[in-house]
Amino acid sequence: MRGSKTLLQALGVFCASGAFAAELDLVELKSPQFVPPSPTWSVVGSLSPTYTENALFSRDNRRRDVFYEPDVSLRLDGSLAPDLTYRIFARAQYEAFATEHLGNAAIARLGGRLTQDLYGWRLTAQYENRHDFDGIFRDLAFTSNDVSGSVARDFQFGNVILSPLALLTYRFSDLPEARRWRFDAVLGIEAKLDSKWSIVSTPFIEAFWFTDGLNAGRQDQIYSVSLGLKYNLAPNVSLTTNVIYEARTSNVPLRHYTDVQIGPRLDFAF
Amino acid sequence: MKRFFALAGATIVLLCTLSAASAQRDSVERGTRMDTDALRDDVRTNRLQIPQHPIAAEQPPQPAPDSGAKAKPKKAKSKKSGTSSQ
Repeated sequence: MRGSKTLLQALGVFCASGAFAAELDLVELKSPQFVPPSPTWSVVGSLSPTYTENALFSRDNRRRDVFYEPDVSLRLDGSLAPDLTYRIFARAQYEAFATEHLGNAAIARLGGRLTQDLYGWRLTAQYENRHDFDGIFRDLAFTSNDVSGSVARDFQFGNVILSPLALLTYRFSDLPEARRWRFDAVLGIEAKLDSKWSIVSTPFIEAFWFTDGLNAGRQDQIYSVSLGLKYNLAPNVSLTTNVIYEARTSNVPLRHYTDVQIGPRLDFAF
Repeated sequence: MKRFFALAGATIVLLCTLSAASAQRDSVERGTRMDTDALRDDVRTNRLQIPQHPIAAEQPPQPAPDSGAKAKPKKAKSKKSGTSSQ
């Protein structure tokens, strides 16, 4: 009798564990799989009247002027996996000078990018087809295809956010003089004073290696520092007043310049 | 005299070519400021809250067939916010 009781208990445990295993299998089968959310669109842009000390990037013929620069992008954002996002964008921007109309220029871009999140770092591959115009969308100067890769991350220390970004680009172009490698190292800095006000700065170094045409062998470096005060009008609208100092050095001495830019800038996203 | 005209013609053609090439090179220069602005934007707009508008309404979650209980379908959100990534 005692033996049959033990057998029954053992059988009970065996059946229960079997049922538990079956439950586990069901749980595994029902485990949530990634369903890509519907892509979203947004409009991001800025408006900025800016004073410049050197409208034409000239070493010797410095012309002071004020220019107006609207910049608008239409974006389509989506996800392919929890840590893999994509963006397709169209972007138009131009610079219109008050007196130095020779400096007027415009750029229209169409492109896409893939961003992989890896241990908190954003790895991005981007393709951009762009059209550079002389004047405000007046004469097409050249057409380019930019291929780039970048790595970026945000670090927060109390009220300070540091955003380092490294970017490498090659420009293919129908104009040989425009073909070049470009490397950027940027550090975005934002120190929040309160919920509305921040001090911002975006120092960066850019290096260019031109590869073809009359610019073959030319190497430029741009050093830029800036200091600004940002006011958040809303979570998606901000007004920033910036002072920017920029200097370019080159192995072509004629291409040296320095410039100071001062102006307010309205950034928006809808 | 013929040599003079040929030389003058060649000089004019050369000057025009150099001028055109120089103008093209200046076109390359003109976009510099907008390119550096675009670079700053990649960092700056990262901190703007970007309203995102779905291009298609989200589907309400389907109740499990063996759940038994009647699940009320949730209304699809027409607008949601997020922070842009770079």
